[in-house]
Amino acid sequence: MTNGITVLPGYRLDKSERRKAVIEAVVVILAVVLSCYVLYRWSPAEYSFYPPCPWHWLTGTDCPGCGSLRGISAMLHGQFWGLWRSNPLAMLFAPLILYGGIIVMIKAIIGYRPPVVMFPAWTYRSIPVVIVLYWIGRNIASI
Amino acid sequence: MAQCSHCGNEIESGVQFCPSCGQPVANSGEASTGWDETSRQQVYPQQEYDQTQPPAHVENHLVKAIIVTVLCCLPLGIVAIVYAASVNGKLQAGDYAGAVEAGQKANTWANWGLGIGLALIIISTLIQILAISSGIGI
Repeated sequence: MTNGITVLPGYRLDKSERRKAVIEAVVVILAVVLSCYVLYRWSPAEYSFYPPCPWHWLTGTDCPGCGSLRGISAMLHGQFWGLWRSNPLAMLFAPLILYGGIIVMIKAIIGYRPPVVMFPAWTYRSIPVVIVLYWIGRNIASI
Repeated sequence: MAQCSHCGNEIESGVQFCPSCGQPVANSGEASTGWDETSRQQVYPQQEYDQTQPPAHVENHLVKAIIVTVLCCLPLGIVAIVYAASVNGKLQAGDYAGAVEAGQKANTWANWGLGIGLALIIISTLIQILAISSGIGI
């Protein structure tokens, strides 16, 4: 079965898995709260203390992630499409990242790993292809 | 005293697993030896574990890999995504060992990306603080 949608059943976490899940959730919450505060308080568009993207610093070209900090900061300031304007790829992945965060919270709070829905293999394999195409495309577009 | 059907060591009656070899003890609680003393043949077939039985879940760490890529820690994030993207395909093709291995590789690459990214943030922040405190100003 390689071309259909398959579902792996959910399961209850055992004690050590639960402990790991709680630590993971605490780290995620702290990281999100801290970075949102910093990005809101000191917008990357105005302050330059943010570390430069290593790729951009080395090559002078954009990496697939360039613009995501500015975009998130714009979003925090109420411009919902801010992320789309500075990095459409990040906006595309935002729902997936949100989903990952929700799974982490469910694992920590109720100790249950929800069933995993697996899409056909090509959908996963196309993700790196899309990223590389976007990477090349955005640099061609900015010339 | 009973005898383990697997290694032949004497074991307490009532235990479910042999303390010396770890094999399950047949008919635990009974005075069964697990051996037919006359023929010295193992009468209880050794319990077989299905090695192809899939693990319940294989985490692909795709979300972590994407976060690393989007927050600018290339090219480690891309490598992690390539591994993460192969996990579910391998699972669906029945290659469980391969899926587990790919998931672990995705996790390792993503963690290196996160670690290097965090290190760069800390180094960059320290340089800024030093520059400001010594009055250089970048």
